[in-house]
Amino acid sequence: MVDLLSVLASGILVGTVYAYMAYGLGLIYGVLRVVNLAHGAFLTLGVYVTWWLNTTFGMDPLVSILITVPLGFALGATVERTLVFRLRDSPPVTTLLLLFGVWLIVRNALYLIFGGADRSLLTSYSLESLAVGPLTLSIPRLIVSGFSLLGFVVLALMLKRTWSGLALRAVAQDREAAALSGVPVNRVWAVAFGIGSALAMSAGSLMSLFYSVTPEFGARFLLKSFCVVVLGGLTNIGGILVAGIGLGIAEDLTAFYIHTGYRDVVSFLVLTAALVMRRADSD
Amino acid sequence: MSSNARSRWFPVLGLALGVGLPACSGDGGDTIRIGAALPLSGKHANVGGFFRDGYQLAVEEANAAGGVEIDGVPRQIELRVYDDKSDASISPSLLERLIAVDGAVALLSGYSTPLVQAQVIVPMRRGIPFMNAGGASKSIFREGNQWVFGALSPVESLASTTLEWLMWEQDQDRLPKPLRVAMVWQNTDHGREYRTGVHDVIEGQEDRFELVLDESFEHLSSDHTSLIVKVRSVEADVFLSDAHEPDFLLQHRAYVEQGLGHIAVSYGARGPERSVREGLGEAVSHLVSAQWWTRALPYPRSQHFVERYEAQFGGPVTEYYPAVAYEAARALIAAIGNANSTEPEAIRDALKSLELEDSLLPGGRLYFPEESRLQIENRCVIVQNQPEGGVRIVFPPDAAEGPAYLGS
Repeated sequence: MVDLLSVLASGILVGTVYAYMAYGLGLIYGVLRVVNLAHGAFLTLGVYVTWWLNTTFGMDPLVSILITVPLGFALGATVERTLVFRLRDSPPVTTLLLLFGVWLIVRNALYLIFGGADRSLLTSYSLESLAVGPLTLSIPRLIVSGFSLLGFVVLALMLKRTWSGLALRAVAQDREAAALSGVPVNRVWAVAFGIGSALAMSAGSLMSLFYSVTPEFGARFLLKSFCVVVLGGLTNIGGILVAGIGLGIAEDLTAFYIHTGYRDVVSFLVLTAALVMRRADSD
Repeated sequence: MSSNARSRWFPVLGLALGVGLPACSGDGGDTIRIGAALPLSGKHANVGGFFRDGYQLAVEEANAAGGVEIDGVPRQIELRVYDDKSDASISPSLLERLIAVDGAVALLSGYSTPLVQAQVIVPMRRGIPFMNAGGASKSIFREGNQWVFGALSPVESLASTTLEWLMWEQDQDRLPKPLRVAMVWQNTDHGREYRTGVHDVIEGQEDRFELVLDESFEHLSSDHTSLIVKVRSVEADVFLSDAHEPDFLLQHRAYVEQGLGHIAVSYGARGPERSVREGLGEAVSHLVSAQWWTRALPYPRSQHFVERYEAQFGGPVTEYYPAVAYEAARALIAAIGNANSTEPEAIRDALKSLELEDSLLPGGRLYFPEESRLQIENRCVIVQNQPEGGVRIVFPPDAAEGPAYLGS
């Protein structure tokens, strides 16, 4: 029983991390209808900025979010204004390739600047855990889960209670109708891309608490983000949170009760099933 | 000449450039050229740098001692290195260039099993001696291999030496019999060979070992907690894992977070790296690891290498990479001298009969047995991370600096 509870708790903690790194991808797709392959680049930039701030200035990764969030917003909005915006009426594959190119540039720039060695962060709480009854829960993972839930609440409130959120939802539902109603669509696009990128970079910052830092970091998690977004509903932030947690639990139960080697297979089975079911629904 | 006629000549020109040049440039001038395609940028850049330094040090030493004598004429060795950017699709063409354009008479390997696997096709096809210091997988050394020599013991030896150490501790009555072993391994060539090494030793040793968990995990897994919970559930005495660094960091983090404790914990070759201590701090104290080399080995050649390397490149040298690279280049240069020729066949035959009795590798001796397809079979050395930093050799007994700390 303790083992089952441990596995379930681990699945929930991992799942909230999945959700956090996928929020931005879902938001950008929802508003711009763009599959952001540069998402991995922003995740990677988040871990590198955090690692660099920590090793250079001793800044705690949690504090570094105060830098990575605005930096991510600025970078994301800039990418949208200077690159994505120019291709807004092009076929989707053009934007897809463009953003893939952005990712490759960022990855190779990181190789040039920092080399390819695995690096990691060590804080005073990196290896701490909390005993809850018979369970042992990792403090860094609890922190990231807390941020993931906080991110969900803030994003949900922003989308429902603010003018910007209303504008984002309007553009997501019908771009032309929103434009006719006076919504500055171009600015909304930049804001959406900025928020999505800021979320990705802050997720990277937090994930540096337990994952090693390499230029390939984004590649490791991009596909998982896609799985969560597809499973949760491409534009549904609440669905993404639930999907992330569900995927985390499914992976951990599979790893524990069937075989650890099948852990990642779960993601791809889920992705395939979700795509097939969506296709069937649309038919 | 018509365009058709020109196009007919291109293959001939290509052959002349590709095949003719080694014969005319490899043995010319006062120097003997050897070459390597190393990952000096990209994901293996840091290790590639260690290899370059090790190769360079061996070449400098040989040249300072007068070079290599061929037919009574001393010749200097020239090392030519290209950057393959950690890309297995580039690496073979750089070796082709070293042979065809630069006239290298022998080649030294790059680093990492996938890159070396891509590289070995070239020397085998071209019939050029190739000294491998960067890939331990047995899959590199194919049936009938005549050109690829391995200065790195197989991955199995990491596992088998670890189990030999455990048996030795049992014989000292410091460990129980049978010992309950939980083993997990990454689902790669490296991991599979580690598993084979464990099974090879355990089979027939049921009085000594009971394998209570034998499970693979995917490379670059996003979480290891469920695997660690499984390890906890089998209540083993010893935990063995074979993992590359990113998985090791995540796995051991989960191990510590879940509060596990075993009499001995080993992650294959992982443990002494500086980056590991930076990432996990005190949590890596007392980890046991099998190493292809460590700076504390008491052999004179090893001590000489440490002094020279640290004087030239700074130190302390905590990784095995430059030492094995140095030894591989030293063996190759010695073979060229023994061959008294720069002909590939002569160098190959000299390598086959080479015996370095003053090797810096564990065991102190280096030769390339035919029965292991020209890959050395030296046992590894077992070290244990010390709480204050650094490592201590705990096995084999003739090199041990003290007893291992064993958990309860």
